[in-house]
Amino acid sequence: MRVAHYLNQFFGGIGGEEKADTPLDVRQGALGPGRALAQVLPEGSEIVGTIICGDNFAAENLDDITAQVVQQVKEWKADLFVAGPCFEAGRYGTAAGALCAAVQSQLGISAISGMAVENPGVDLHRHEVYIVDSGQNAANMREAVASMARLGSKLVNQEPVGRPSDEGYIPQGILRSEFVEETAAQRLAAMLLSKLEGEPFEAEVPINSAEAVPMPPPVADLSKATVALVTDGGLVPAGNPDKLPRAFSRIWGAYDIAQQDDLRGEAYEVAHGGYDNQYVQEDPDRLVPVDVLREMEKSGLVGRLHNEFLSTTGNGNPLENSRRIGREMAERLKAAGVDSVILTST
Amino acid sequence: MVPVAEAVGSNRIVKACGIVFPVGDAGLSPEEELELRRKLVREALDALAT
Repeated sequence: MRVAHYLNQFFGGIGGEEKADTPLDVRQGALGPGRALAQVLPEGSEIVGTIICGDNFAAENLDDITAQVVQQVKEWKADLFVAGPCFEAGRYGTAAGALCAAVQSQLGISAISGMAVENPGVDLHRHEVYIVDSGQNAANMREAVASMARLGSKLVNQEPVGRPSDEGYIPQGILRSEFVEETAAQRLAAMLLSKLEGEPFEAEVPINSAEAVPMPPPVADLSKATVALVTDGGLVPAGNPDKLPRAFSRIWGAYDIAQQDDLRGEAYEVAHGGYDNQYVQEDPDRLVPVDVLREMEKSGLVGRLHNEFLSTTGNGNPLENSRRIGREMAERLKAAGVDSVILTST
Repeated sequence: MVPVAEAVGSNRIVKACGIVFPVGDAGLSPEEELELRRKLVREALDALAT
């Protein structure tokens, strides 16, 4: 098995944060964590080469380095592409996930990475790439590379891949049917008994838990603040220019209200299949209260109503998608100097 | 949907009128509805300043 390995500048031995703008560099053979990886790869395997790139350089030139990495891995005739493990390093994980996805899809070979569950690369790429749970830091290096080697060779040999908890990878959100001996009622009763006895048990439906969000400081002076309106209720201008879907939206829109004192139904429509839209259609202020905020702007209660409202469809959206949309909206609002946001939710 | 807002970690939550009209109420007269909307938005602004 021929293995190509990707590392950031830190694990590649070039340097720390001060070297994060190091461009792509290609070395023959194994390096750093690659040496540990080589020891646990199946016999007859070889790490043919290592590609190193600075975290900032990778983040800022992802398309370019992706093309270069794909080309290099192809030249090496690798059977497996390994990126990381990245632990909690966010830029490293984001690049590693994107590179694994590109190598897989463009070269048709297997790829594997390792990250901490919290790494942003996980949210972005766990659906398409096998990402081993590496733990949070390099103290887990030995276990992380062992899991990556084990699962990576399974992928190369096209052996069946077991459950995430058995193989050590982060769940990809795939439901796979399987036959079991016990009925749902029996399994449920067994789980309940385990719970009552304080014994460990594994739920069959994973519950998404959200981490606590730190509370932003209060607005010091509303009369000087710019307030923006955001909604997940799917309000869009008539004709739905961005084609916001009525469910499972991956997109959002920003719509100008600079000249509006009051939103009128005929100028808008609702792209949301999760509630009866007729009342918002009659009067969009029921969802995006431009009318009263305009009043409050005139009376001086608030400094300014931001000149556009942002809208998406919060219907059937997976959490990681909503998080990304939220991040993108926050970036746009921050760049526009908005101090505070009222988000109306249906 | 206050429990959902709480579950995802929101920390300034104002209970609105309903899913089909968060800051309105089609059952009220237009004047009463506008007054209700003022009250809710005011409550949201107060939360932002607290």
